[in-house]
Amino acid sequence: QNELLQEPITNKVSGKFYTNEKELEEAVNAVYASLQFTGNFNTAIPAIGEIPGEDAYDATPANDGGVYGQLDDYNVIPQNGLIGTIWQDAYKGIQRANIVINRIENVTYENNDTKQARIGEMKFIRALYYFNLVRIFGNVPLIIDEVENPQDFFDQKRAATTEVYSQIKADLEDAISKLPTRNDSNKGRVVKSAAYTLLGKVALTLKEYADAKTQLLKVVNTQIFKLIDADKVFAIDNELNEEIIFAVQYASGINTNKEGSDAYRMFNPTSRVVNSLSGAKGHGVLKESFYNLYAATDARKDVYVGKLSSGEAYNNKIAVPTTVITDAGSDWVVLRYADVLLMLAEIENALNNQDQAIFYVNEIRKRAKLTPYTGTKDKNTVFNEIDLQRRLELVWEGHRWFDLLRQERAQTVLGITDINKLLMPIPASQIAASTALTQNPGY
Amino acid sequence: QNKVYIESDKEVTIDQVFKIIKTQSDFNFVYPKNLFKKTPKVKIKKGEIEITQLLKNSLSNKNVTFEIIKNHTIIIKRKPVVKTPEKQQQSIRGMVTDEADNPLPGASILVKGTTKGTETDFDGNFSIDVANDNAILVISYIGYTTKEVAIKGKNQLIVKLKEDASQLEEVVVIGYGKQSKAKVIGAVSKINAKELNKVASVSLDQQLAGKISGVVVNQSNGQPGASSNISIRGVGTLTAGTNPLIVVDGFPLSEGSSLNSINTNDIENISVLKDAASAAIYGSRAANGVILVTTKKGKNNQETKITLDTYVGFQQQSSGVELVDAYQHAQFLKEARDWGYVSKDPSNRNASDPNSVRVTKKLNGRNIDGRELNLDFLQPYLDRQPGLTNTNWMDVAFRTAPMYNYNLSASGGNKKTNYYASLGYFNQEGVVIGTDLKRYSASFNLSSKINNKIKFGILLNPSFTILNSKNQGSRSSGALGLLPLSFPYYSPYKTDGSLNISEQVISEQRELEGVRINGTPVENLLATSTKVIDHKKRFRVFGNMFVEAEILNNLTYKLLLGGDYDAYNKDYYYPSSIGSYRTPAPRKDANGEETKQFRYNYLVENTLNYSLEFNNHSFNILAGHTFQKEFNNFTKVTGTGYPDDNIQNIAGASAYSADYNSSIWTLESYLARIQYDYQTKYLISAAVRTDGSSRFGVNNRWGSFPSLSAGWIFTKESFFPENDILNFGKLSASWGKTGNNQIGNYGSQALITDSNYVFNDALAPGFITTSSPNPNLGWEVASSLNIGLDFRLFNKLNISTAYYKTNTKDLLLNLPVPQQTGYNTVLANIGEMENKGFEIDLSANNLKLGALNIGFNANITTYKNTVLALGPDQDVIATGRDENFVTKIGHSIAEIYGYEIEGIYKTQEEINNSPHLSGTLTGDYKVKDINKDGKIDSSDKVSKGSFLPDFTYGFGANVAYNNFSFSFDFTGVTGRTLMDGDMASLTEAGEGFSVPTTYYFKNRYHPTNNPNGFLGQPNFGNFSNSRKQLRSSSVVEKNNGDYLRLRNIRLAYDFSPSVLQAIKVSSFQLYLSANNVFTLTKYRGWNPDGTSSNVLTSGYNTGANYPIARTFLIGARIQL
Repeated sequence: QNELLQEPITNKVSGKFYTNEKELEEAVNAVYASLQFTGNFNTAIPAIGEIPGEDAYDATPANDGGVYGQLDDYNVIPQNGLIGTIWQDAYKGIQRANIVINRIENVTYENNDTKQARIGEMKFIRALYYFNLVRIFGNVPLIIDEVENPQDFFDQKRAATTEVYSQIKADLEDAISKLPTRNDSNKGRVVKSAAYTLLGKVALTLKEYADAKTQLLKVVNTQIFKLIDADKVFAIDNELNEEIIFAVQYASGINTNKEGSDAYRMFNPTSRVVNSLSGAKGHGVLKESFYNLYAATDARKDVYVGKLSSGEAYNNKIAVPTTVITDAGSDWVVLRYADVLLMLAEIENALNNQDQAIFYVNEIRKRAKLTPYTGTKDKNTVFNEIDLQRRLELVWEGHRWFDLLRQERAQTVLGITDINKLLMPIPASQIAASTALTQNPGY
Repeated sequence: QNKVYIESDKEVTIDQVFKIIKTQSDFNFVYPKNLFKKTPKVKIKKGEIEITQLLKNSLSNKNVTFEIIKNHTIIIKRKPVVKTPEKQQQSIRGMVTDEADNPLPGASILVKGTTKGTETDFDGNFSIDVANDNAILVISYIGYTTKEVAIKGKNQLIVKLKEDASQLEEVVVIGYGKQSKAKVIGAVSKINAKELNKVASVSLDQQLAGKISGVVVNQSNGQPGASSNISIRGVGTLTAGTNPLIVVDGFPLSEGSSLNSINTNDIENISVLKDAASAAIYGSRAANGVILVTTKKGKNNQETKITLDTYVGFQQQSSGVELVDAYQHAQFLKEARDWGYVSKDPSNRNASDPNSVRVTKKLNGRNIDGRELNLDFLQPYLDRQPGLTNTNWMDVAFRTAPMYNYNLSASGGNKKTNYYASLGYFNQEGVVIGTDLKRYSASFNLSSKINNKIKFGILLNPSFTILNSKNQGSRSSGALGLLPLSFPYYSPYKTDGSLNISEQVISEQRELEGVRINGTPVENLLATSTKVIDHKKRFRVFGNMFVEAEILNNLTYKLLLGGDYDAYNKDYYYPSSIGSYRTPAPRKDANGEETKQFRYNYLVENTLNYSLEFNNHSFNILAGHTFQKEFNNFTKVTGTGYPDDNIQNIAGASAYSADYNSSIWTLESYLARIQYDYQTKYLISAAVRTDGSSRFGVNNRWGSFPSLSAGWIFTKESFFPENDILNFGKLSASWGKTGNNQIGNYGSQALITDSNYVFNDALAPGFITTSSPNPNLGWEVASSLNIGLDFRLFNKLNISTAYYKTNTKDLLLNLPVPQQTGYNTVLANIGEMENKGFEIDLSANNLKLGALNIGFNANITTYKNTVLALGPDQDVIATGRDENFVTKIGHSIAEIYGYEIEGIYKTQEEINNSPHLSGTLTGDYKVKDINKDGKIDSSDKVSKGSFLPDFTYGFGANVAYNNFSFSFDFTGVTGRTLMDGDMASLTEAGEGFSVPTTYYFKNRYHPTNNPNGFLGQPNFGNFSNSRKQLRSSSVVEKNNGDYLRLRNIRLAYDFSPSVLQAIKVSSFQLYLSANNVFTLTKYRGWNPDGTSSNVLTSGYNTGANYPIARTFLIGARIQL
C-alpha cells in the first residue's frame, strides 16, 4: 500500500513548498522571471508597443507566421500567436504574483520589512501586467487570488476596464506603502519610485492629470534619479544606473546562453551583422526618415539609433549579444527618469502650464546636447515638441503605440480607419476554451 | 539408468508406478487411455529395483502385456482376449498416417459394432484380429476426421487420416493463460509465426499492419527505429497515451517503450485482445487493448533443430512528394517576387521595374522588402539556358538503402527440459541519408521439469541497438524539413568534390542594391544530414523466470518474476563548421548534448490456477496478485563554448548545464477469473481485476475492472441438423471494463518547476507552481460490449464477425482551461466518448484447384467515433494550426475544419462584390460564405473529415503449387483526411520561400502565365492575411488520406526432400519478397499514415513524418 504513495523525486511539490523564507524568496524570483517571458518583456510587449507606431516597421512581414507584420499593418487576426502569448504570459505572471501574495501570509520572514517589500513588489508586478492587458485588450478577466482549481473559470467574464484600473491603482497604492526607497542593494528590484512612476503613468493614461502630476513629482522630488550622459544610459556595462527606475533584467552568455532576450535578433534589420552574428529577423526596423529627425549634433544620434548603408535604421539600445544572437544581455527598461520628465511635460502642457512643460522638455534637450526650446508657447506647438522629444528619446522602448492610444491620436497619426483595430483581438484559443469570453468588436 | 529407487513400502496405483519410473528415468509409456482405470493397486517395496522387474511385478495378473521399444518407450497393450476361436478369424496389420505420410502414433482402431480395439504404436503400426471379412475398422485420432475402412479380404492396410480443422483445437494465448480457440468467447485475434516476418521490419508493430480486423497500425514515422501508433478498435482517449499494453511471455512492458528490442524472428505468435472482456484481466492498463507476444520455445523430446533465417534487400522511399526543378522554380520565384512587389502599390509599381527602380519605391517611408527584388541569377533559367545547376535535392536526400537480417536459432529438448536460443543481427539503412539502425539481439528460453509436479523456466531477451537519426522536422538538421526549402540552384558538392557548405545560406542573404534579398537561408541538407551527430545506443534486457508447482491435484501455483532493464545513451553534436538556419558557417559555437536514460522495472506475480472436469462440466479458476514497479532516470547535459570541432561530444565544451529527472511508478493488482463450460457448448467466463496505481490522486487510487462473457456453440446442439455446410457456429457476447493510466507519473500533483531570474547579471534561482493539483484524478474507464458470431462453412471457410461498442468515461483530458487562471491546461477526468463498429474476418485454406492449393483471407472493420461530452460548459476543443482541428460534442475526434474554396479572385471588382477576408488581393482564394451572413469568418469553416478512418480493410491470398508458394497482402484505409503542415505553409502556399510541388506549379494562378490555374497566385513580400488563413484550407480535401497499399508480395521455393537429403538439411526455402510495392492515394505529402502524436491534432503531417519505405528482399530459411 505504501508503495502506491510515490512522491516526485526531482520535482518540488506545491503541498510541500512555500514553507519558509528561503522558498518564498525562490517563488518571488520566479515572479520576476515571468517578466522575461516571450509574451511579456522579452519580445511581445516591446513589439506591440513599437511596431504599430509610425517610426518602426516590419521589413519581413510575412515571416514568423506574420505575427509582427500584422501589428505593423493593423490587420491582426485572433489566431496571431504573439497576441496569444501576450495573453498567456501576462496571466501566468499574475498567477505567480497571486501565489506569492497568498502564500507569504503564513511565512515568517527574519525581517518583516523584507516581507512587506516582497508583497509590494508582487503587487507592482501584478499591476504592471494588468496595465498591459487593459491597454491591449480592453476589458479583461480579473483574478487577484491564487487559482486552486482552474476549472472554476470556464464561465468567467471580462471585467470592465474601470474595474481593472481601480485594481491596478489599489495594488500600486498598497505597493507604495510597503516598498523601500531605492539603494545600491535593491536597485534590481521594484522600489517605491517605480510604483509612483507607474501610478503616474496610469493616471496620465486615464487623463487624471493632477493625480498623475502628484505621483510623478514624488519621483522627481526624491532626487534619487537623474539624467545621465546619453551614451551611458543603455551602455551594457552601466545597467541599473541612476536614470533607470525599473528594468527587466537579462544577461548574455551565462547559464548556457539562456538568460538573454531575443529582442536583438527579432527587431534588427536582416542586414545587420555585427561580430559575425547573423540571422537578425528584421521585424522592427526604423525608417530612414525617422533617423533623419535627429539633428546632426544630437548626442542621441548613432547612440540610441544607428543606420545601415541600405538606409534601414535600427534600435541601438539593445547591445550586441556576446555569443549567440538569441541571447541579448541588455535589460528591457520599463520605466526611466527621462520618461518621467516627458510625462510631466505633457501633463503641465495639458494643465496649460507651458513654461513648466518647456522646462521639463529642455532638461531632455540639454542632455541631448541640443539648445533649449525656442518655439512658440502655444499649447499645440509645445505638445508637438514634447511629442517629438518622446519619439527621439524613448524610441524602441515600447511606448509609442500606448502613447498614441492614450492621446487618442492613433487614427490620425497612423491612418487607422477602423476604430476596432485600436484593441487587439482576444486570442482565438481563449474564445475556444471559454464559454464566457466574448471577442472584441471587429474581429 | 535402468533401475529406480522406491523410498518406502507403499500401495500405489499403476499410474503412480509409471510416474515413479518416468521421474527417475528416461522411459515413456504408451497405453490406451483408461486402461488401468479399474485395476487394483499394487504393493511395492522399499529399495532399488530394475525397471523391467518392477513392471513385471506390477502388471502381472493385469490383463496386459508390455514391450520396450526404441527411444525408451514402453508400450503396454491389452492382452488379446482369449475367446473360443471362431471361424475365419483373421489378423489385420496396418499403419495409420497423416496426409503427408507421417505415422500417427496412438491412433485408435476399433472394430465397428464391437468393443474390440487397439492403438497404433510409435511408428503408426497396429495389428488387430477381426471376426470375419466383412468387418469394418473405425480409425480415429484427435484433430483428424474419423475414417471407416472395410477389410474386404485385405490383411495389410494403410489408412490416411485427414486433418479436421473443424475441431478448432488450435490454442490461443489469452491473459494469464491459454485456451482452445473454440472456447474463446471474447474478441481475440491471433497471428502465427508463419504469418509474421512477411514484412521486413525491426519491430513487431509492422507485422500486424492490415492483418487483423480492428487493429490499425499507423507507421507515421518511417525513420529506422521509430515506432508506429497502434490503435485497436478506434482511439478511445484524447490526452492519455494511446499505446496498447504489450505483454511478452507474461511480462507487461512499460507503455510506449520501444518495441525494437524484440526480434520478430523470435516470436512464436501474437494474440490481440480487442474487447474489454478479454483485456479486463489487465485492468487499468487495458483500455487501448492488449497485445500478447509469445516467444519461441523448444519442445520436449525433440532433437536439436538449427535454423538459419536470413534476408538481404534494399529500400526506396515511397512518398507522394514531387517538387519542381530549377527552371520551373525560377519561373515561380520571379512571379512571386514580382507580384509581391507590385501588389503592394499597383498604381505605382510595375513588374518590369529593375531593382534600381524598385529600391526607390518607398511606401509610407518604409524601404522595400528584399523579397520585392528581382533576382539577377534567375534570368538564364527563365531563358531556359541549358546546363545550369539544377539539383534534384530529393535525389540527394533519398537513397536506395540496403537492409540485412541474419538470425540463427537452435531449439530442442529431452523429456524434462527444452530450450530455444537465438542470435540475431539486423541492419537497416534509412531511405533518407544520415539515418540507420543496427541491432544485435539474442533470446534464450529454457524450461525444465524438476519433477512431476514442479516446473521452472527462464526467458531472457537482451538486445543492443545503435541508431543514427535526425530531427527531420527541423529546418536546421536532417533532410526532410529542409527539402521544401532547398533551392535547386545550389549544389550539394563544390567542383572539387567537397561539401558545399553554406552556399544557400549566404547567397539567399546577400544584398542587391544595398538591400538583402531575404531568400531562404538554409544549410545544404547533405551537410546537415552527414555532419550533425545524433547517435543513440541502447542496451536492453528483459525477461522473466517462473516456477510452477502442482500443489494439489489440478491446483497449480505459479510464481513469475519479471524484469526489464533499458538504458540508452545519446550523443548530439552540431558542429560549428556547418551553418544552421540563417546562420552560415563557421558559426560562433557548436551545440553538444549528451542524454542518458535508464529505466528498470520489475514484476512479482503470484497466481493460482485450478481446473476441474467432471460429467461434461469444465471449470478453470484463476486468482492472483501482481506488483510492478518502475524506476526512471534521465540526465541531459548540454555543452556550449566549443573552441573548435575537434572533440565532437560534450567533452569538447567549456560550459555545461544539466537537466536531471527521476521518477517512480508502482502498480499493485489483484485478479480473479472463472471460466466454465458445459459440454464445450455453453461457455461462461467472468473476471475481475483490482488495480492500485501511484499515478493517481489519493482519492481515486484504486479501481476495479470486471468483465463477463458468454458463448454458445449452437452447432453442437442435438437439435442442430448434421450437415456438410455449416460445420461450426458460435455466438458470443461479452461486456467488460478497462482502464487507461497513461498520464505520466505525477499528474495528480501540483508541481513546482524552476524559473530563474538574473539580478545584476547573477543567476537567481526561482521555483513556483506550474501545474495545478487534482487529488481526484483517476483512470479513464472504458466499458465495452462485444457480440460475436463465428462460423465455419464447408470445412474450409472461416467467418468471424463482431459488433463492438465502447464507451470511455472520465476521459483523462489535458483540458484547455481559460488562461487567465495562469494555466493552459489541466489534467482531469472529464468527458465521454464512444467507439463502435463491425468487424468481419474471412479466411479459407486448402482450397484445391488441380495441383494448386489456395488460401485467402480478408478483413474489414468499420469505425464510428463520437465525442459525447467534454469539460464543464465546453462543447468544443479547437487546436492546432489555425485552430483547424476541432473536437466537438456529437462529432468525431479532431475533425479538420477549413474554408470551402470556390476559386480565385481575378479582378478587384470580384473581391469588392463578394464577402471576403480582410487583406484579400487578386490571385487570392475566394471562399464560400457558408452561413450567408455576408462576411467571411471562422463560422464559415466546415468539417472536411478526420484522420480516424471510416473503415480499414485488408485482403490477401496464398497459392501453393508443387514446391512454389506465392502470396500477397493488401491493406487499405478509407475515410481519412490529412492536413500537411509543410504543404500548407511551404510547398503549396505560393509564398516564394519554398520549393513548390509540381502540382502547385501546374495549377497556380497567374494572370498571364497560367490564367486558368485554381491555386493561389505566387506572392512573396505581400503575403496577405487572407492567404495565411486559407493556406491550410486549400491543402485539405476530404478523404485525401485514403489509400490502398500492396503491403506484401512474396514468392517462395521449397527444395524437395531428394535435394534436401543430398545437401543434408531438413528444409530449405528461398524467397523473393517486396513490401509496400505501391500505395494508391491522392495524398501529395510525405506519408499517408503520418500524424502528430497528439490525438487532438490527429492527421497533422510534416517532414517529421518520414516516408514509408518500399522494400525488395531475397531471403533464405534453412533448417538443419
